[in-house]
Amino acid sequence: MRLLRFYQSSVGKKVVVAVTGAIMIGFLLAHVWGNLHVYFGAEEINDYSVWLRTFLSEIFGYGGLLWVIRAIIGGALVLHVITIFLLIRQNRAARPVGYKKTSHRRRIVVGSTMALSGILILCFIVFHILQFTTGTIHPTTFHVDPSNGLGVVYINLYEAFQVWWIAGIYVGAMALIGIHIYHGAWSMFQSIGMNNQDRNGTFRAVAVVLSIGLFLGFASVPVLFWTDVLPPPAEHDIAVQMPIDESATAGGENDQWN
Amino acid sequence: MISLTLHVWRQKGPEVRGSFETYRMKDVDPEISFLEMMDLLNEQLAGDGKVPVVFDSDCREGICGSCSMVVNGRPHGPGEACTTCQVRMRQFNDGDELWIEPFRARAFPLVRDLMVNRSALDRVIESGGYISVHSGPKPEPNSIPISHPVAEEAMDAAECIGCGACVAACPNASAMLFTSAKVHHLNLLPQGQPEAKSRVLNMVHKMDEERFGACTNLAECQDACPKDISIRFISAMNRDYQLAALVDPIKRKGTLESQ
Repeated sequence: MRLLRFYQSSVGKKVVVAVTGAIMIGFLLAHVWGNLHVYFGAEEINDYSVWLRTFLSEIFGYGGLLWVIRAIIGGALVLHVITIFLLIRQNRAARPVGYKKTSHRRRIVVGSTMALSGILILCFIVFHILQFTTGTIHPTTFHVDPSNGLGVVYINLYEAFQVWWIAGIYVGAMALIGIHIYHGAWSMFQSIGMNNQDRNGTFRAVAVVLSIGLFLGFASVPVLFWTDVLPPPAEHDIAVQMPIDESATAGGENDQWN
Repeated sequence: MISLTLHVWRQKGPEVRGSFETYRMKDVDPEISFLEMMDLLNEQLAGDGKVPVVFDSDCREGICGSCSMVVNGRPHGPGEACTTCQVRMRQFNDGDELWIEPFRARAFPLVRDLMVNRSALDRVIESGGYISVHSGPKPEPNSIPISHPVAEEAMDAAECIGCGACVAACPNASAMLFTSAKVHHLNLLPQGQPEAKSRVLNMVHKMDEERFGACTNLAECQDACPKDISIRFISAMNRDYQLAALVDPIKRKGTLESQ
């Protein structure tokens, strides 16, 4: 009852947006840490994707923890989007008649386009999961390792990012995430009530570092694959994977969550 | 002397459709205030047998917060931290075109022309912006020393004149800057403590009830505020609200269920 009343208020909704946003920033930090395994070779990143499923599997079972984390992130994302939808509806209704002339001194494009960047990021997330997690959309061949049914990360990344527009979509989406976080990360501290005159500078700096850091960390992977700085997968990797890949793509439509 | 073209919002009543009327003002003394320029416009209109423009004004020294109008997209016009009445015509150039509009918000229903009804803010105050119980007897609250930084902080918040420029400037027509200033200047002081929790709850709930928007942390309100009130008070209100709404126990001594 108390929680419901809290959520009904505009302050409560902002806090929910901030907390769910914080969860997703935490996820992005973990995700970029995972991605950076790619710099240490195909083996490293492929093993990492297996490790994600086997970590603490004694307690949660194979892939169990990953599903728990997916549920938390997914729940946070859904709550984030629904709450923002409710806030936007409230905000629109609060000014039925607009101004003829507007002048905004401080209001920068970033802060006022959070909804737009948010929607585009949401579209990207759907595309990204369908491409690299389920392999449903595969502009390039989606390679699956027969021993564990998982996508073979390195070769899938390499082949996808040889295509200029896929690399472009990824770099563009990462720029949007950086922009979203530039306002969002600082906003998070403000909404949750942690901000004051002594901390403001630090929180602004944290937001800048997070937005630029996450952008560089994520966008470097497609760029370096596309520019061939990261080497193509070794011959034997491809040789091992190729035959299996045929069967995987044939049955891929029905068997999504490999 | 400067000449200006004014586009003024004219609307005969809340239910009638309004529109911009264009007026030319010649030989405006740059030393007069914006409201004196509006007075001259009204004299000119009355002389022509037209109905003068209705706008709010009272003290004309920047403390009452009545002169609510938006000039060229900025509540209270182009001045830094000042109300419309404090804006001087020297801040404009010869030949400037000015768009003069009322404060726009669902919570501020338009009365006529540039005059809006801002009593929604009064109702937010009525819901908790006061001290009704004595926090004494020992020590007597008015004898409790308040440290200088806290007194300054409370004064910064208490500077709010309730003009509604924050609502007018906010892209969401949110009253959070106003409400947070009103909550915080009392919640910082010993006298405000007994009602601190109920104050923030009631004022935030009333603010929502009055159909103001929510905060997007763009700080437009802070720029428009004639008293330079900082959005840090919004953050402080968010913290107080969370503590009051989620952390503070509901069951108290004196209720049968307690302990």
